[in-house]
Amino acid sequence: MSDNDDVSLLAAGYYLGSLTPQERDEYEAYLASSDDAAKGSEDFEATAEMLAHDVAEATPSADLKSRLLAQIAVTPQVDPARDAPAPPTAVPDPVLLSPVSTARDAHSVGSAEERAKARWFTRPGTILGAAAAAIALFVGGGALGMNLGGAGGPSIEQSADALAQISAAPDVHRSTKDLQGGGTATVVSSLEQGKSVMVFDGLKKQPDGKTYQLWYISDGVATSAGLMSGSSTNGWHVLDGTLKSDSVVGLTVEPAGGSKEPTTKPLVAITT
Amino acid sequence: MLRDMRSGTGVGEERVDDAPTTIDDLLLRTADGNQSAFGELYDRIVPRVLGAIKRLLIDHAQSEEVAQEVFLEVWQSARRFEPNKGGAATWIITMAKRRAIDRIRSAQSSHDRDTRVGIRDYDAGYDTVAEHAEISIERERVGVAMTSLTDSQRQAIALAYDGGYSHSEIAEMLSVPMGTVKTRLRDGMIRLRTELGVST
Repeated sequence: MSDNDDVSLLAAGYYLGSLTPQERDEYEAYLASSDDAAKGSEDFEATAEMLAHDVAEATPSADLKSRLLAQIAVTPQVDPARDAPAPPTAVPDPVLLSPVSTARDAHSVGSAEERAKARWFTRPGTILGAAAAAIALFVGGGALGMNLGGAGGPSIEQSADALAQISAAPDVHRSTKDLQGGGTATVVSSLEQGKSVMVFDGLKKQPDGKTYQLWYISDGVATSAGLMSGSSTNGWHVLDGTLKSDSVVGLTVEPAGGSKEPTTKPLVAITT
Repeated sequence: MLRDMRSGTGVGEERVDDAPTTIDDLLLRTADGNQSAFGELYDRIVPRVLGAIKRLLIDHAQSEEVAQEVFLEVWQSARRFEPNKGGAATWIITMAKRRAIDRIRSAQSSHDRDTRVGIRDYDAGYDTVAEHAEISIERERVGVAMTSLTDSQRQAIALAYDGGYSHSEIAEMLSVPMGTVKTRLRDGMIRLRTELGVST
């Protein structure tokens, strides 16, 4: 055999697609080395192209079909693969979110904040003003806890009640979006009640020293709607504050203790 | 294939229905639980299913076993077939090739399994071959040429070309030396080249 034996061994593989990158380089160098080589390779190329037309056929034994028909008579068909699960409509398992753990000041809400909080929840018609006032108050108040949920945050029962109430509202609205970095978030909201809750699935734990923060964003103003730590990736958080008709709900990662305004781009922003 | 120009059917062929049922139709009806549609689907496509499997497995009895598994899976998962992602024939025959390769791999002694099941997804004319149209000249020619190869050569070519496997992967799957794989591929291609009359 000629010393081109090795190369001809590569030739078949080249056109069949079974060479390693190194072998391909080797073969291509050989092709470039001589006209004969290039010419000879054209035959293999044309041959390989014919393979695309090959439709192999073989005849089965007669009893294959009867065995098969007997089998399928007792074999169920499976449903098509499901789409991504719809946002939960039932109350999910109690979330393990801790109330704001870093904002100790939440426990020492002053009377002014109480009044501001009251304005938040009790006068939907003047929310804009209330929100602005609330923010102003909080900004003026310095490093106060942004958790409007009251001392220590809501209990699981209260939180679950709130979620159930919102879900049961006649004007309930749901909107789901993907979270940056994975998972999904659904905002369940009721304008009538002026409340919303974010339900999430697959939310990653926040980085060390950081917290998740929810926001109501309206008219270019972002209002904190609560802090949460993601100790469970699936769960929900009732937003603190009142939902407005043009509210956008946002979720950002902020330094522990929260921020007065979002300092990072949102993981998600959902119109209600 | 000679054709009767008036009726459009091949001489000696049965007259076909005005609206011939396609493989896709049969699969969709199978998805509804229609067992007789499944039977018809079997009749129509089993030669190609068994042919594709046998090319890879060589042994007829084993190939029939795999074919049975394939058709059972077709029955079970017919509802998962999505018509917009390619034809039913390709779906079924690709499934057949995957199972055949799984069967080869399960005979491997090595535990180091490559999870990639690289089946060339090109449309090998499975879906474009109209049931009642002429078989393409190329298909006939290459089909005849392939009969002049040995089983081993056809198998090696199928693994390389259809499966996209490298020499070393094929060698491992078949438990033969790599040199043997290369020789089979080369000799098979030389034979094909000759039979097809490809020469410049």
